[in-house]
Amino acid sequence: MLRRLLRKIKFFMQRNFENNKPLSSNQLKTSLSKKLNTNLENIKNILNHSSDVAIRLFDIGSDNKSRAAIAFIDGLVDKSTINEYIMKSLMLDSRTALPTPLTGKKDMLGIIKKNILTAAELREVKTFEELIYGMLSGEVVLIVDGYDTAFIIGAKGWESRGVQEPNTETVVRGPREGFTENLRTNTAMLRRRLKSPNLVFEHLKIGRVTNTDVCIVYIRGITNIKIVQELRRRLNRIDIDGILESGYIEQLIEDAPFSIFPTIGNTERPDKVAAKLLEGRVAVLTDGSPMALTLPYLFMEGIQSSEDYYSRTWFSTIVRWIRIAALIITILLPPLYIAGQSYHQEMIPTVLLLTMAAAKEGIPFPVFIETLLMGISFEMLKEAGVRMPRPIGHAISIVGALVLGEAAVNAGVVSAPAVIVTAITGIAGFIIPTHNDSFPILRLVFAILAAIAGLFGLLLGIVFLLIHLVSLRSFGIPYLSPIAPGIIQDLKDTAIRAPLWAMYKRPRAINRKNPVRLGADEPSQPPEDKEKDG
Amino acid sequence: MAYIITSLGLMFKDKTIIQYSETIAGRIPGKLIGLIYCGFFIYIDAVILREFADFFTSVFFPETPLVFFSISIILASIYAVRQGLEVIARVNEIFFLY
Amino acid sequence: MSKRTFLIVGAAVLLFFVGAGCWNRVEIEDKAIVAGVGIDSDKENKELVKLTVQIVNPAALKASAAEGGKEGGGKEAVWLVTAAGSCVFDAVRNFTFQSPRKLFWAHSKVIVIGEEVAKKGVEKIIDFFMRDHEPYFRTWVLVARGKASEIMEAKIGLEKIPAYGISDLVSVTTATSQATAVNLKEFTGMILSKTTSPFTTGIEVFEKEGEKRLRLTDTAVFKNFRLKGWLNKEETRGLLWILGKVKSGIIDLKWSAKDGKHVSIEIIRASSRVTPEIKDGDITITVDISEEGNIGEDEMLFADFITPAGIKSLEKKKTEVIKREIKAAIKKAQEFNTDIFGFGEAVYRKFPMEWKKIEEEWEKIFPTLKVTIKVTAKIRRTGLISEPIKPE
Repeated sequence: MLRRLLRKIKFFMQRNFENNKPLSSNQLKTSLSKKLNTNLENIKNILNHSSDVAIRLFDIGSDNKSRAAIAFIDGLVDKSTINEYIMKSLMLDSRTALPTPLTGKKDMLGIIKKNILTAAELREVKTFEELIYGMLSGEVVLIVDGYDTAFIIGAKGWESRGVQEPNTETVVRGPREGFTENLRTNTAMLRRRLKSPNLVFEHLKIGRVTNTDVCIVYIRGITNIKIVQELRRRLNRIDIDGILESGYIEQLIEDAPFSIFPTIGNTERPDKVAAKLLEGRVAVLTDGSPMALTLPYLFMEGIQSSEDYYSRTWFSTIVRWIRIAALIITILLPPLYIAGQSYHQEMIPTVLLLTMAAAKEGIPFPVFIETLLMGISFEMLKEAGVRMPRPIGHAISIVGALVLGEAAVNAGVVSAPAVIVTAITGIAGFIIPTHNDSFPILRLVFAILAAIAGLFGLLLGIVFLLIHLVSLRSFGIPYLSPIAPGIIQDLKDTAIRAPLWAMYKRPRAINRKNPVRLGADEPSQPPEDKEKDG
Repeated sequence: MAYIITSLGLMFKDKTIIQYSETIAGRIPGKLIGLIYCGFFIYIDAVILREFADFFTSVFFPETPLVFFSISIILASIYAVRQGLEVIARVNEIFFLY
Repeated sequence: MSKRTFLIVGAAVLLFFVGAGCWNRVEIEDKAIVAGVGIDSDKENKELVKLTVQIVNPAALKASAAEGGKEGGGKEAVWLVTAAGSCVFDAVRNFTFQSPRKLFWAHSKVIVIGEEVAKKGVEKIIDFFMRDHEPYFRTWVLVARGKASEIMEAKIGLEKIPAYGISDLVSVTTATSQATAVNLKEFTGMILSKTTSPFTTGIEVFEKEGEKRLRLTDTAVFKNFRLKGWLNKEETRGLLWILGKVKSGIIDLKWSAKDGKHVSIEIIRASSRVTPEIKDGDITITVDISEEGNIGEDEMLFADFITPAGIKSLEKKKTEVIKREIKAAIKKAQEFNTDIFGFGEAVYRKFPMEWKKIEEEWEKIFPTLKVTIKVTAKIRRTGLISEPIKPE
């Protein structure tokens, strides 16, 4: 009696402890036994009797004497595939195809594999480790009694978002596809664009708990293999419990984690990734995230958009200039406004100065505080607009615009020029979305410098910024190239977007081997029409 | 002059000018040369710094002490020097070409 | 650098900046923007200088901008303040007794010097405006006929701020080339030259419909900082011909003396070249003027002008007029003994060796200097219509 009680207590205590203990690797490393029941018990134990584990026992062969079972995680598999190509084949078609009883045959597994199963994806496993990970990534396990080998059958199929137009990077001209959260869909989208045997998908698993699939993508022969090696080294160094988004990877492998500038790019557009791959860059796809990482990432990529290459040269070039102007405005306009109003009134044209002085009459705050207030309100509106549900977001923007724009000026809290400056700055900031997270910080720092020391402070800030930018590198490539170091050949894709036939070489900054893109005899000429009439 | 310095620098690749001047000229004269060399740059930099700060105080900010400009520009220089020769070269590339 | 040093250095830098800043910060609303200044001498108070400034009142501008058509809330766009002092800088600082905001000079566009002060000498005035870092060296320098304070009090139509109106008046003088103003930098440049005499336009007040208004008048000529005399409109253009500063203008040819009918020529472009010659110690100056013009108005109703011979006769007449203007200017300048044309400089540039000898005697040479005038005047076009409008 007492002994039984003690045993029970011991049992409960053990179970309590066991439940909270992570799986030991030994338990996973064990190989399958020949007994079906032991194997199934083991699977259940390893997966802690989780409710989404489904196990189906059945008999196969015309004599119904061979017992078999399939196991899978409910929700990760496509049930119609299981019904149609596994269960039906095993239980019905096998009897008609192979009238003789299966039992007793020497190589029953071989027969099942070769003659019965009609599923396309199939491999054999011997250890629980492979078996369990197969199950967890949505594959179906088939175990036959009497064999210590199990089949892993690919029947992945779970609910996921379809291919949609990317929200973050919309274009007027160009494909509307965006990456999804499903890695396979994403790789397929890339493969469809680059039908080349040289396109390489390298598979990795990162994350002790999440076991996230991560894919390094590059084109053999175009990419500088040293970049791939370095990327591989950095990815293998990651030792983290979970990767939930490509942003995790970005932060764990970037060159300058303390910098406000990103040294790894991200995009949602497969065509953009394809273009970057063709330029010799490397991409990283992460399962569960529609954002692909591209690297090396240079500062200049911030003003480039995939649409630049789809529209014609002149227009693209002008758009580039607008982006550069926006870049300068969004960083420098508020600091210049502050410096001009507080220190350098002599530099403002007379009429403008009078207008500004008139607007400033009776405003209670100094210009720095005024600009800061407006800037903070703008950032708050922006944040609210992003986080709010769509319908409320509209209300927010209307109220914000009214309160900030109209009422604040009418009430004499802030001056109208400050509102104009803030608005232009904000709009200009949206033109360069990739640097959107670094510019507000920069703007704030510059505004403080301008408030402290006017244009001199601003000058000092710019010097510091340049030194910093120039010292940055992304996977060995100087961040500011092709400006510094100046690569004249690469300037064709910066402030101007040269015609495609003139960009017949890949950017030198990234890879110097295999640079030629266009196969024309004289590449710097527009392609000629060979069948010209008369 | 540039040629002499370059060829000397190539002869003593792993030494600074102060180190190899001792090898060439002997201990005491070598140290003297090093001292003159340092002194030259300290002098030139001091003059440039003063001129720079003076310009700003007289033209833009008459009430701001000179030291403010000197110290802030020295800070910028320190940052650039810490980042290395390559960075200084690149920054100059930007300033002069664009 | 270890983390601790990094933090310490960072904190020091931050403190340095935060503690250091703001010495020179004066917000725009704490500055009184000076639009223009008039300089008089003040005899009554035994102070030497009396300044009258126009200070822009931003509030008035704001009211008028916001209320559109309404009269700017009854507020004056400028506020007139007068202060006196022993010198210009003293007077400038004395403004702070009256003005709640510190005067800000960078946007002052005109300096009007009273006639009395100009006659006494302008050297004391110019120094402050050149030395201080605020006043802009492109400020126009004008001489008032009468008191500068009266000029500052008068009004100009269309412009809310009279001083800026004066500045605009000066810029449109090119339409006639009969008045000319110089800015502070040019004025100082002329003073700095040993031989060249400064000149600038005069400005005067006249009354019309009970309102004081402003207009530019003759050109003031200085000699050794002192106002020497005035050039009238014709002489002023003569001066500008020689300087090559004629940009546009009308040459009025009184064709027939009887009925006073005119043919006017519009000057399109003109240039000049001054070449000094020295022969046996005698200096002669040759002034080459080449001018091109279009027919602007023809009251004569002659179609003859449109023939080559007619054009020739017009050109000849025009040449005479230009010559007359130049001669008048030279005559007046020689009377005053003021080398406003910069002939001395021209001689120095061409004959630097000889110049050293005659430099001291230039004062004596100039009044009797021989000047040869060569004018090439052309008529290029006749306007939209060629023949004058008259019944056949």
